[in-house]
Amino acid sequence: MVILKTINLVKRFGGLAAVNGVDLDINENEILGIIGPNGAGKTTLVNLISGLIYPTQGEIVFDGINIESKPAYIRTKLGIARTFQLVRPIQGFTAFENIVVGALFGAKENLKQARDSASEICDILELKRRDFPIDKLTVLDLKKVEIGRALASKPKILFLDEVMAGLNSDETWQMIHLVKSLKKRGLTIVVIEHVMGVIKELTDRVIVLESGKIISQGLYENVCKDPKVISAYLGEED
Amino acid sequence: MEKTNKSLKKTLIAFIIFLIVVGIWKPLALVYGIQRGGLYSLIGLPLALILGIVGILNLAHGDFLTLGLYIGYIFFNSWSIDPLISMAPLFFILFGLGMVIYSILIRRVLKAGHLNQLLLTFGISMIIIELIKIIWTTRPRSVYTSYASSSVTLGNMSIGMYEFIYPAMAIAVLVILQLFLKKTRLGQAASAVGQNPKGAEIVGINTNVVYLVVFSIAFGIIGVAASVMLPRTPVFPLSGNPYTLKSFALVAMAGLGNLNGILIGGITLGVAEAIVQSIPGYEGWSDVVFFGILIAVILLNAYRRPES
Amino acid sequence: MKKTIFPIITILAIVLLIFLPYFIGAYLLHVLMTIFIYMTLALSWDMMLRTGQLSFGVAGFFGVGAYASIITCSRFGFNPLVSILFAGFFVALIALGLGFAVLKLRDIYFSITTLAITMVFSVIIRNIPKLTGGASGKVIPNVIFNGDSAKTYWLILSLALITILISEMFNRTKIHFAINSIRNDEIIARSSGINIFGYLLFVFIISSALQGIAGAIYTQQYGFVSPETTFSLDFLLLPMAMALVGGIYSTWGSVIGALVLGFASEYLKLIMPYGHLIIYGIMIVLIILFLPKGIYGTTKDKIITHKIEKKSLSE
Ligand SMILES: Nc1ncnc2c1ncn2[C@@H]1O[C@H](COP(=O)(O)OP(=O)(O)OP(=O)(O)O)[C@@H](O)[C@H]1O
Ligand SMILES: [Mg+2]
Repeated sequence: MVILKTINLVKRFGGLAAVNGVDLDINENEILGIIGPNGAGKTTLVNLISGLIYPTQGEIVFDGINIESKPAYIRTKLGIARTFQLVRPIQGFTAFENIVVGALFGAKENLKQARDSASEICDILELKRRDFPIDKLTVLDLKKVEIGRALASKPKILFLDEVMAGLNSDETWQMIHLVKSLKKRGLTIVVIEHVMGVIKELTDRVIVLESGKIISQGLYENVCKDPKVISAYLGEED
Repeated sequence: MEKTNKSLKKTLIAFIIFLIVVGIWKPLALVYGIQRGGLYSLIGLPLALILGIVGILNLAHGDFLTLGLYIGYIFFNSWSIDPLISMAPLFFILFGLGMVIYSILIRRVLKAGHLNQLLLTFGISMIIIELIKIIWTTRPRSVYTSYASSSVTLGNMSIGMYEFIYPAMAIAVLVILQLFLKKTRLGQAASAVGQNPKGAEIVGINTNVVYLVVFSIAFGIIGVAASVMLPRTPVFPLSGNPYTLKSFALVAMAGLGNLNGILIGGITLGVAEAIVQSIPGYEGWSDVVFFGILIAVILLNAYRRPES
Repeated sequence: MKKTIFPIITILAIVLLIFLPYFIGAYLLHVLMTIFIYMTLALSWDMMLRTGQLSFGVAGFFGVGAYASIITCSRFGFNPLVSILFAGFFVALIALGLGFAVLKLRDIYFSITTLAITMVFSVIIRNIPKLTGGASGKVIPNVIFNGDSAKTYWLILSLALITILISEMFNRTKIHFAINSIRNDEIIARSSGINIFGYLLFVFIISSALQGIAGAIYTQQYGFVSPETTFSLDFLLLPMAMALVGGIYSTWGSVIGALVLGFASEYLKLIMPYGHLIIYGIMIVLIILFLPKGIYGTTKDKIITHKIEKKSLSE
C-alpha cells in the first residue's frame, strides 16, 4: 500500500528547479533509498515533504490526505519525521531532553509519557551519555540524538538524510542494524546516502535523482546497471 | 542587475512625482520637508553604513549625536568657534571616539549574536545620556549665530535659508561616501565585507581593519551632522535620541546597503511629516507618520520575503 | 533532602513577605514595592526573551496598562481593582492583535518594531487629550486603598508572586521545551512538531498582560499618569538590567537581579541624585561583555560542569 505519494512535485529557487516534476510512491514498511549526485535535489525533496519549504507546484499525499500546504509542525504530528544532513541538536538541552522534545510535540505526549518514551528510545539507540549537554557528545551520539528526536514523534514514515556520513565502518554497521530493526517495528524508512554499500545492504528499492528529476528506479542491482545512472555519476566526476 | 536598475528607476520616478504633487498642493510643506528630510538623511547615513557593513545596529547612534552637539557647544561657548568651523575638529574627535568604542566594546560582540549587540549598544546609549546629565545637567543650551536665522519671504511664505544646508550636506556626504566605497581600495574592501563577510575574509581582506575604519568614518559623519544642526537645535541630554529610530526607519525603507535610498527615504519621510504638521490640529501626530511608516515597511518586507 | 527543604524555604519566605508590613518602616516598604514592580517587568521581559525575541515594548505595555486603568477609573467609575484587571485584559487584547503582525518578525526587526510601537502608543496618548489629558497627563482624586501602604504592598506582592509562579511554570512544563527549542533552532522546533507562532503568541500575550497590570498598579499607587513619566524608557531599561545582572532565561536570575539592583539604586539615588541610572547602563555593558549569563546563570553553569566532570571521571 502506498503511504506517501508526490504528484508532479516542483520546487524552483529563482531560475533553478531543484526538484522538477517528481512523481514518487513510497510503500508502507519498505526501505526506500534515494541516491543521486551532489545538488540533485534529494534534501530539497525531503524539505518539501517535511514541510520546511512549500512546493512551487504539485501535490503531496500522505495517508490519503493532501498535505502540501500544511505547515511543518502539523506534518510531524501526522507522522512524518526526518533527520538533518548536518546534525542540528538543540543547544542548551541534554541528549535526553532533545529526544523528549520530539515526544512532547510530535507525539503530543505529556511530560511524564515523553520522559518514558525518550528513555525507551535511548535504550533502543544504545545512547549512553544521555544526560550530557550536546557539546560533550561524539558524532555517533549526535546522529543518534538526531534519529532519537525523529523517532520520539512516533512517525509512520522516517526520512534519514545522510545519517551515515562521517561515521567509521563499525559505526556504520551499527546504524545499518538500527535502521533494519526500525523497519521490523513497522516503520517506513527513506534513506538518502552517497555510500553505495549502505544502499545495497539496506534498501528494498532505489530511486535515482538527477537535476531534480527521477532518472531511474527499481532494485539496487538493476538501477546500478542503468546507463542513465552511470552517465549521471560519471558526469559528476569530470 | 538589470532588475535592480529598473526598480531603482521606478522608485525615482515615483519619488519625483510625489515631490511635484506635494509642491503644487503644499509648497511650504515641500520646502520644510526637503530641509528636514536632508537632516534625517545626513544623520541616517552613518547608521546605515555601520549596519550595512559592520552588521551592528547601533542603538546609541542618536546619543553620540547628542554628544557631538555638546562638544560643538563647548567649542562655541568656551572658545567662540563657529559650529561650521568646529566641524573639522568635531569630525576627528568623533572619528577617534568611534575607534575607541569599536576597539574596546563593539569588537567583542561581533560574533555574539544580535541580542547581545542590541543590549550592548542600548547600555551604551544609557551611559551617554546619564553621563551628559551628570556633566551638563538637563538644562537646555543653544548656540546663536546670526546666519542661522536668515530667511527669505516669497509672497506670504517665509522660508528659513540656513536649513538648506542639510540636504546639501547630505548629498555631499553621500557623494564622498560613494566615491570612497567605489574608488578606493579600502572602500571596495568595505563593500565586499558588507555583502559577504565570510567570503571577504577568505580572499584575504582583514575584516577587523575594515570594520574599524568604517565605524570611525561613520562616527566622524555623526560629528559633521552635529555641527551642521547645532545652530538650529537646542542642546539637551535627549536632543539626538529620537534620531536613532528615525535613522533606522530610513534603513528599513531603503534596504540594507542602499545608501542612495537613505536620501530618497529621508526626504520622503521629511515631506510626509511636514504635510501632517501643516494640517491645523494634527501637528502632534507627525511622529506617528515616522513610526507608522517604519512599522509598515518592516512588516511589508517580512511578508514579501519568501521563505528561506 | 534538597527536595523537601526547598518548598519549606519557599513557604517560609512567602509568609515572611506577607507579614513584612508589620515589622518594617514605611520607607523600606516603599522600596520593596518598587522592587516588586520592576521584578515583574524583568521576569515578563525575560519570558519573551526565552523564546529568542528581544522585546523593547515593555515600557509601552506598561504605559497602556497604566492609562487603561486610570481612564476606566476616573471616566467610567470602575473600582480600582477592577480597573487593574481590565487593564490586564485590555493589554492582552492589544498584544493579541499586534502579535499577529510582529511575531512574524525576528532579530533586530522584532526589537525595533516593539520600540516603535512604544513610541506610537505614547504619541497616540499625547494626542487624544480629551481622554488622556494629553501632554500634561491626568490625576485621579484618590490613590488605591486611600494610600494604605500595607494593602498596596500586598497587592504588588501578589502580582510579583503570580509572575514568579507563571515564570516557573514556563520553566518546568512542556512550554519550557517549546520555547527553548524555538530560541535555539526554529527549523528543528518546527520539524519536531512545535507550533512556533502559537507559542510565541501565547508568551507575548501573557508577558504583555503582566506588564500592563504592573503599569496599572504602579499608577494606581501614585494616582498620576503623563506620557513623559508613564512611558519612560526606565521601565524598559531597569528591568532589562535586572534580568541581565541576575541571569537571563531563569526565574531566580531576575529575582536576584531585581533585589540587588533595586537596593543598590536606592542607595545610589541618595548619594547621586543626578544620573544615577548610569550605573544601570554600565551594568548592562559589563554583563554583556564579561558575564553574559548573569550571577545566577554563571553559578548554575559552574555547578553543572562540576557534576559532569565528576561523572566523566567515574565512568
Ligand atoms: N534554499 C535554497 N535556495 C536556493 N537554492 C537552493 C536552496 N536549497 C537548495 N538549493 C539548490 O538546490 C539544488 C539541490 O540541492 P539539494 O540540497 O536538494 O541537493 P542534494 O541532492 O541534497 O545534494 P547533497 O548530496 O550535496 O546533499 C542545489 O543546486 C542547491 O544549491
Ligand atoms: Mg542533501
